Amino acid sequence: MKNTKREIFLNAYDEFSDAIFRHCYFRVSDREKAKDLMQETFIRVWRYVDQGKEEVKNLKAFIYRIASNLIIDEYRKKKSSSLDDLQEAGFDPMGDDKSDIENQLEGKEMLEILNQLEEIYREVIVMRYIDNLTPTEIAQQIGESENNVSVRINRGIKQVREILKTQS
Amino acid sequence: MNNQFEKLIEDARKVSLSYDEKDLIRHALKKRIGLINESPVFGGFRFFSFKFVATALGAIVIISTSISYAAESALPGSPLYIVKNFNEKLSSLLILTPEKSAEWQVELADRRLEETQKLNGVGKLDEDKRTALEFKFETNANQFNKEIKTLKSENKLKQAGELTGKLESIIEKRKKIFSDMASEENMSDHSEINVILNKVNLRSEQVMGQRQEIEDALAEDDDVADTKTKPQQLEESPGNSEKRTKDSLLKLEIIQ
Repeated sequence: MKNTKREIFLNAYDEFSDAIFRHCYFRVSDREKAKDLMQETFIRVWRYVDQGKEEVKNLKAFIYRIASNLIIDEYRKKKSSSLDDLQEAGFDPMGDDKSDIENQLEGKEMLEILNQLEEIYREVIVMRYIDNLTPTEIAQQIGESENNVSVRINRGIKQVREILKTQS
Repeated sequence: MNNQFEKLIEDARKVSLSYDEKDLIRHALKKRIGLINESPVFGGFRFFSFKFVATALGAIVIISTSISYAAESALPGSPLYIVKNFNEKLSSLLILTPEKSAEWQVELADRRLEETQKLNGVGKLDEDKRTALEFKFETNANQFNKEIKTLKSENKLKQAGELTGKLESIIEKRKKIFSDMASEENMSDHSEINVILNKVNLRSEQVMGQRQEIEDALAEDDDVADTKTKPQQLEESPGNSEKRTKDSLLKLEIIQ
């Protein structure tokens, strides 16, 4: 029984770790912090699964909800630094191979835009376009109505367009 | 604009963990859920691993050695002085022969006098410290006397003489320094340095007397040895000259 739980857990890690890491990364703008948050997310998932108090019906949604809660805690602890601040502080997200470096550079452009968005828009934009979640899934995870989520997405996209326009 | 945004989204979705990062976290999680039984990792070391234990022991040795080294120059009143006393007691336990013990008592007596000198030099020799140092000095000197007595009973007069001479020498050296200190600073007769100087003077006389006694005993032994060896030499002399005469005559016969 315990082994089955472990298998389910490890399979979930293999399937969602990259997505959760990416979600954290575009929410907190810090690669190392994102790694910590992703790891902590899975530790909490395991604790819950291991205790077995309640069956997890939608594991993906459950993992995202834990990650979102951790990110909110992180915001409360310390407001996320802007990309400029991070760069000034010597932050330079570097992977260990060429494709990682390319990913980081490309990711930075997105971060530059996201850092200019208000948090309520940034959250839904990341979830909708980077995590590829449906408005219904987003609504479940952030505890808002689907309608509210759609409005936020639209307003967020509007802000992104304005930012892109000023950039070009 | 849409194309530009889509391109950004496409690029953002490529952001991922490297293979090593993902594997490392997976490994940590496997340990967490009990699939790998390994001792916990602390600062890059596994508890109870050879590397961890060796590093911990090394650190303990280095810290202990540093503290002991620093304690060697500690003076009464300093927290490290306790360490110094502890080290001295530990060293005492490792001494097995009366010669070594007497030598160690000389060293300890000198340390107490040196501490007295240093404390007085910085104006920190108060009555409590002086009394404590004086007591320790006297204890060392008395223990020294016991060891010398043992050496005498074992008929090791030469060693006893040398050690007593050594103690006398260090007492004389410190006595002169104390005396200079007292006169330079116009200390009253009741000043701490003068009080201890009087004690040192008394001990100096006792040690000097002891040394003379041992030298007399040694001289007596030499005399006895001389009186035993001289008749033997006289008895041997005629034989030797007779032998030499015979040898000379034989040589003459050969030449002729």
